[in-house]
Amino acid sequence: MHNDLNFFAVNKANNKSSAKGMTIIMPILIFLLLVSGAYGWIAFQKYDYQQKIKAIDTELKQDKYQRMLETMGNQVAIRDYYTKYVTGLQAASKNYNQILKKDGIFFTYIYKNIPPNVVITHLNVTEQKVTMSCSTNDIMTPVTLTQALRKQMKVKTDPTAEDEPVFQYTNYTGLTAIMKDNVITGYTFEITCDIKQQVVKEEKK
Amino acid sequence: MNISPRERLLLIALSAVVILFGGFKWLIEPGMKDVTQVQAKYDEARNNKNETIQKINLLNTIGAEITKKQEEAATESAPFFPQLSSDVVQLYFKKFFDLNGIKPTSFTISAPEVTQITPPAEILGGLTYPLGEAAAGIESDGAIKPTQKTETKETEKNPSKQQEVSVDSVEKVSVVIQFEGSHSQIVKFVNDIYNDKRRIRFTTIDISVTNEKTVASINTELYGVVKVS
Repeated sequence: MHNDLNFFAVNKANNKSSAKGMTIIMPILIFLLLVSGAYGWIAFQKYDYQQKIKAIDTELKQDKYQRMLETMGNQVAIRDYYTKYVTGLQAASKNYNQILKKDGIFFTYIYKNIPPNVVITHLNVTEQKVTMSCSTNDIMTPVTLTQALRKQMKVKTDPTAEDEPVFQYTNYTGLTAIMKDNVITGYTFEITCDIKQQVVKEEKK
Repeated sequence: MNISPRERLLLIALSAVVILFGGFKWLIEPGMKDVTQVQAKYDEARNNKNETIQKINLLNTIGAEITKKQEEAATESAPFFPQLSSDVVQLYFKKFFDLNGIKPTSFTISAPEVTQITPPAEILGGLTYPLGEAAAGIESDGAIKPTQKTETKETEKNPSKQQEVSVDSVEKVSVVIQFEGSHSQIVKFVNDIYNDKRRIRFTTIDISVTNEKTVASINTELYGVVKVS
């Protein structure tokens, strides 16, 4: 018996096998695509960031920026030097202003308290004390003069400031008689006055 | 080759594990780490750029600060002498001699030195003893602090500290002037110098009367600094 060749059956079987293969390959291809897609996206991100960094670096290296930064550095240094200079000067001035101002007001205070019968033979004014060698014809003069020098006065230029004592301690070391032909013609004495430092801390600008 | 649907399913699952896990582990995960690092670098670069721009924008502010400091420096340094060479010092005093008709018999100028201006120390008037000190403290409402005689200053403990130059150090020359004149002339001379508002200190003013002559000996200290133009 002669049978016809049945190519369809063979073809049908092949088609079946190919379809089965595709059902395996397709998911694998999809997985591969997913992985490569993700990797590609990551690679793109990396490349993108690198390009941006490069752009920033190039921009910052421009002469314009470099010059400005250099100027900025110099300006900051100048400002710091000025700060140091001004701070030092202010501190020095603060110390200076605490020194007693032995000006006209100070001397006027001393002289206005000197009675007319007193002659100052020696006046020594230091930053801490005033020493006066005087002569007089009245034995009670040292008492009145010492008490007068203890009086208070306005030592600050501030009009609202209260009167304060200029000296915090005033005293004298007795009297010595001046003899002429066995007759007492007068007396000499020495007054020492300690200057009250805190009241004379006047601003002097 | 015939494979059953179950085997096919297993094959797909296996390939999914191999490709997805393997791909993640060997490609995606290291890639992500790289991206994170590059991103950090980018953030750093961006911050750097922002800081640079901010700094540059501050230039104007610093310029204004410098202008203000320049004004302060000019004001603060004005009372100080600009330089303390002997000729400058003598010329400074000359105008006051001329103004008051004073002819100095002696005029001595020391060499300039660096110093700190120190206010004179407080002297407690009269005798100092605990009861007197306590009474003075009570009278001053506590303004006068008890003296601590056992305290040692840092500079006394460590002499090398004295070598350090303080920020408020200035130049100083001492000038001793001797002349003859009346009391009022001397006082006016001193007052005129004070009114000139220079940083000058009278350390001692000594006036003595001998043989109808009034002789004054005045010790001064002049303070100067290098001026900024």
